[in-house]
Amino acid sequence: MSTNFREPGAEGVEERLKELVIFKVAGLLCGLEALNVREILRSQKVTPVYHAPEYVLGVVNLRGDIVTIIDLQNKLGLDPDDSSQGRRNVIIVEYYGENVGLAVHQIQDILQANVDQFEAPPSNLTALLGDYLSMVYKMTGKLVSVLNIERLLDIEPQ
Amino acid sequence: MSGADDEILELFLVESREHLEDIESDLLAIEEQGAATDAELVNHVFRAIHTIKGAAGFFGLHKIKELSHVMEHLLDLLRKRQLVATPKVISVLLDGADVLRGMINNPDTSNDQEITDLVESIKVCAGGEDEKAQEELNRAVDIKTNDGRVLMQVPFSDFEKAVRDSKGGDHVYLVQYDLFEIEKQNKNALEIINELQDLAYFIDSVLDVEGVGTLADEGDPKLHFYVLLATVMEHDLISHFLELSEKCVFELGEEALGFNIHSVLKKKAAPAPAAPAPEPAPTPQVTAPVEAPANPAASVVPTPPKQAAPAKLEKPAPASTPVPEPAADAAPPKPKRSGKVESYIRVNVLLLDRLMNLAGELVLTRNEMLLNANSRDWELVDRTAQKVNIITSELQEAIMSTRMQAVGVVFNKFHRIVRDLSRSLGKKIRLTVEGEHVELDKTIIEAIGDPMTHLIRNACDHGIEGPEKRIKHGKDETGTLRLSALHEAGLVVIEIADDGGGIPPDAIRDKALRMGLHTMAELEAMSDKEAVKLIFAPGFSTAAQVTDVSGRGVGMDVVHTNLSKLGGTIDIDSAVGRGTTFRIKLPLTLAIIPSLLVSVEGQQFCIPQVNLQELVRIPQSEVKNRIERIGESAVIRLREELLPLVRMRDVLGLDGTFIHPQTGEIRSDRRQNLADRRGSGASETPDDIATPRSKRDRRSDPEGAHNIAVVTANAIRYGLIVDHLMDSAEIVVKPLGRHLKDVPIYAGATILGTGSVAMILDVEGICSHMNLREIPSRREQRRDAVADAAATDVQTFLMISYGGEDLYGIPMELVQRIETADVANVEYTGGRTALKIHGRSLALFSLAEPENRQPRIKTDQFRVIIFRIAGREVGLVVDEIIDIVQQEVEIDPVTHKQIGIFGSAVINDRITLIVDLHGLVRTQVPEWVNEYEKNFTLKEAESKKTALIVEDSPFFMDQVKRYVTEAGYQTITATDGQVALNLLQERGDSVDIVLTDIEMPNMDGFELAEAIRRDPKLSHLPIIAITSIATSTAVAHSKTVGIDDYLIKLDRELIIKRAHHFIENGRAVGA
Repeated sequence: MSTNFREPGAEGVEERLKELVIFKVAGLLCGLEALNVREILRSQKVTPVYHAPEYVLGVVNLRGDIVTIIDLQNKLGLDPDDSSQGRRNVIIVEYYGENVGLAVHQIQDILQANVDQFEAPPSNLTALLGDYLSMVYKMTGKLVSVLNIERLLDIEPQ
Repeated sequence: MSGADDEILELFLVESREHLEDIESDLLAIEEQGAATDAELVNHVFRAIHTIKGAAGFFGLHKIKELSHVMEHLLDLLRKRQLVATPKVISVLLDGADVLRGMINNPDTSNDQEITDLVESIKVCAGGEDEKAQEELNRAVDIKTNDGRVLMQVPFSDFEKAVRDSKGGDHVYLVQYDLFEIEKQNKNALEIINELQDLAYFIDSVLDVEGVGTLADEGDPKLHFYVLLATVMEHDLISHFLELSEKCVFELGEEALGFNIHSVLKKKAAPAPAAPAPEPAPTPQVTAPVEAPANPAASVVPTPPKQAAPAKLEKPAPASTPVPEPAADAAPPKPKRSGKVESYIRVNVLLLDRLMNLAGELVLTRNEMLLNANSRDWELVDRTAQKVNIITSELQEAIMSTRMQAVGVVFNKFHRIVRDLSRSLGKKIRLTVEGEHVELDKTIIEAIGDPMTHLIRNACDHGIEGPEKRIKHGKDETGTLRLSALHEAGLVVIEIADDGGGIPPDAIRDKALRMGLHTMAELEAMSDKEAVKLIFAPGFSTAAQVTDVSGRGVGMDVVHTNLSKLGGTIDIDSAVGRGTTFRIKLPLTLAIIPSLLVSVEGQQFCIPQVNLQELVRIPQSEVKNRIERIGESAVIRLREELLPLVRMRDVLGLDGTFIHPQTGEIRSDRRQNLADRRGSGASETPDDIATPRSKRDRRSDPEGAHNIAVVTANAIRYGLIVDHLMDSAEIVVKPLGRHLKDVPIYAGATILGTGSVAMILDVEGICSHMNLREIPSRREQRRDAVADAAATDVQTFLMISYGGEDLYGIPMELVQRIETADVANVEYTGGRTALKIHGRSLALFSLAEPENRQPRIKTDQFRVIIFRIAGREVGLVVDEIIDIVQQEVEIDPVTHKQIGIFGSAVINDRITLIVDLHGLVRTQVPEWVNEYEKNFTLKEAESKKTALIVEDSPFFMDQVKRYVTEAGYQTITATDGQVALNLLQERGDSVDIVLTDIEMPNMDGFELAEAIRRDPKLSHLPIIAITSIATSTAVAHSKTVGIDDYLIKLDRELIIKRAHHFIENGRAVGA
């Protein structure tokens, strides 16, 4: 999924466009392919889970399922941004049949991105960030880091 | 094969498996009956095999067909009583069923399976001595289509069966179906086959692959499917029934078959002149099944089978050698099976209807709810909410019951295992099964099979001795293995008890020492029971010689781990020379578990009830005295036993906070140790415990009390300190996501009524997280010691106060639970007081004078002790709960005797009134009690039954005597076991039941029971132990010495109920 944004069988103009969900994590503008996103939740009551990995914020009740919430800021190794403290939004993604929530600061937009505007992440990123990016989307005036869900949600070896 | 066909095949496989499930137990039953075969039963097995055979042909499973065919033939002989169901015959059939099952589980490879030997041995059993009969059996009749193609070859003998069968007849038809047509009608071939099997005798079926037209052919493509059947119906009738045009049903006459169908009967009757009786027998077998199993029938018929039997018996004997081989072949595919079978569940249609109804009702109520919510009429909303509540509970119950299966499913397969084992080990073992109707969740049922098999193999292999040894030890030559299941406190208890040699604790100690598991000193300090428990240690085996049967002795630890995974526990009780009992406790279901909600730092957690032993609250004023320290660790003395304490806050790695009593601000808790007070001044050092209590001291705050949940997991027992103990609730266990799987302290999560998430604590995980060492509880040992000290009579009392200074003691064993209630929920109607609690109404009683029936409730919140009387729960209002005391008491029944009071006793140097809960309710509402006890009271008409009561304490003697006298018994009394035994030996005939105390001088209850069981004149007597100690150990021990039931003193209702049960039914155990 990281390299191939074209759906097999899709033809014509459709193939040139990808729907992206754009959001902010501690000041960093990130994007996720909308295909991966199931839904977006606002201001959830998160139950902390002690002794969970550091990047786990806790769990929430999503219509009877227990969903783990990943703290993207922590996971991406970003410094907390004062301006974005406030309320957290949760993006629910499906990963190997399990719903996982990504806590982000601000949902910005959902847009059709032209595939031509994608580029591989630059080489001077911090190792952590570099690991989790699949692409950079070049918008006018700003860059969106498109996240690699697979690597982001994989459980790294201890 | 197409997807649809796969589905049909799968359906066939599932059905066949079900048929085979039953076959095994049926065959064993047939074997037991021997010559007096229950024809209906044989017929049942025959039909099952026949069904499999019929459809196997359609799917092209030739080997399955071949094997089921020979088995069917053998069964037919049994059915006709031409053959007696000897163990040999049954063994062959069992092996056949095994192989069949193996093939059905692997249908793809079934055609490659080597079954020649097995088929041969079955044929030999079926009368291999008769060459002619063999030939006859193998002679095939070709069935051809119009154009002369041979469709199928049918053994001649099948026609004979077909004509004779109750469903069969002298008309043989070849029915042609078009599969495409069938599909259009939304049916499938298997349904057709099943339909046909009901209607007529089904001989064979085949799918005509060769006859399929090619695309080039004109007209619709056709895929023909031919069924050969026999019936009494005429041509037009059968086509009418089958809803087929007459063109598709061909009658096969003499010409087509090559013989006259009527000749089959005559021909068959001729070669068996010695057996004229069997001929007419088969027909009535089905039409009049009642007479078949009856003895008279057996006495008329036996002559021919008995003559035939010896000849058939001797012959197959040498040929039996190949039999074990196929059995061994059949074993490997077994494990694969479980995976496949799990995906289906059979649900009673009635239940499904009920679910549909409930779902409908839920939808209606939801609509109502929405309407009412809009109207803002809260009373209406309240009412509908209640409705939703009821429907949901019912729905939950109904859905759960679809998953519940009787434990008999597992139990029954052990008949076979025990039978095979006892043969291979040369032992005589009888398996008795009780409580097979007890239901457990499907997942648990499936998972307990293996651990139980292991325990049973162990019991047969190591437990029960060989016949010679048993006789030498004065035991019955046949060992008894008892399997039982029963409900106990929301759990299911499964017991596996043998009356074998028991486990010698010293042998275990030796072994443990050699293996370096423990030091000599440790082992010597262990009680025998603890030592025996070492068999659960990893890799431990006690088999003196490694035998094939118990799988090299590993496995007890595996049994232990497997059961733990299910949330179950296992306990063992063994007496050298008397036998071993394993007790497995399992939750009813895995999905919904009762648990206790606790909170720590404002967050809620659940502790599963299975892990919970008791709750202890240490008031703030006693924290310093009660909580003691060894080094860094905190402990309390709980009933003279040290209990390690773990602070939940430490487990979570939290800094404690507390709300400052004066300022209300949240501060961090700086206490280093549990025994320290919380100080807010910097001058107070943690160790400064001698400083007088300051106003700001946390101990002046009611929240300063310590709430301790005493939990156990396997051998570890500890106290978990939490901030608050909240409600108990049934919770739905939800799994955690992949990122949280490795966190040891949680067993899952659940969603609370508020919609928020609470984590479920893993008591064992916390143990390892906090590095608690596994130290077997001293408690069991202590209890054993109590049980051993024969003359003591320790009772546990719940101490309460009510109406001023008076102190009351309530026998703890009668208390169900204690609730806190709100005075707002109390209603006085019709001169009775009731409390609304958990959506139910609970009758309230108090210790007040009878004329003043209204309980005095002083405070808004009050305590209610819940107990059961007359089959219902009732509550007793108390002012304060003071303590639980365990001590030996002597009750004075005279001085303070009054209504609802047994008498007085001195407990902890204070005069305490002992409450008679039963008497209390009885005086106020006699109709409840009388109505209930009527069922257990002996009828006037019944001949007078006599109970022997053995009890050393005059008080308890009086009580028990009164109970049984009022229930219509005559009584004889004895003050100890020796007196009782003498009495019994003198006039044993006049006694019908023995009620005995356990702890008595001279001869205790256990010894008395053993003595009674040894005496052939007395061994039939039911024995009920009535005692103050009800530990699981003592209960298990009582079983091994032959006590039928184990009851608590002063539990009047249960005593008369059980006594009545035994008088009516006799002893349950077949011993």
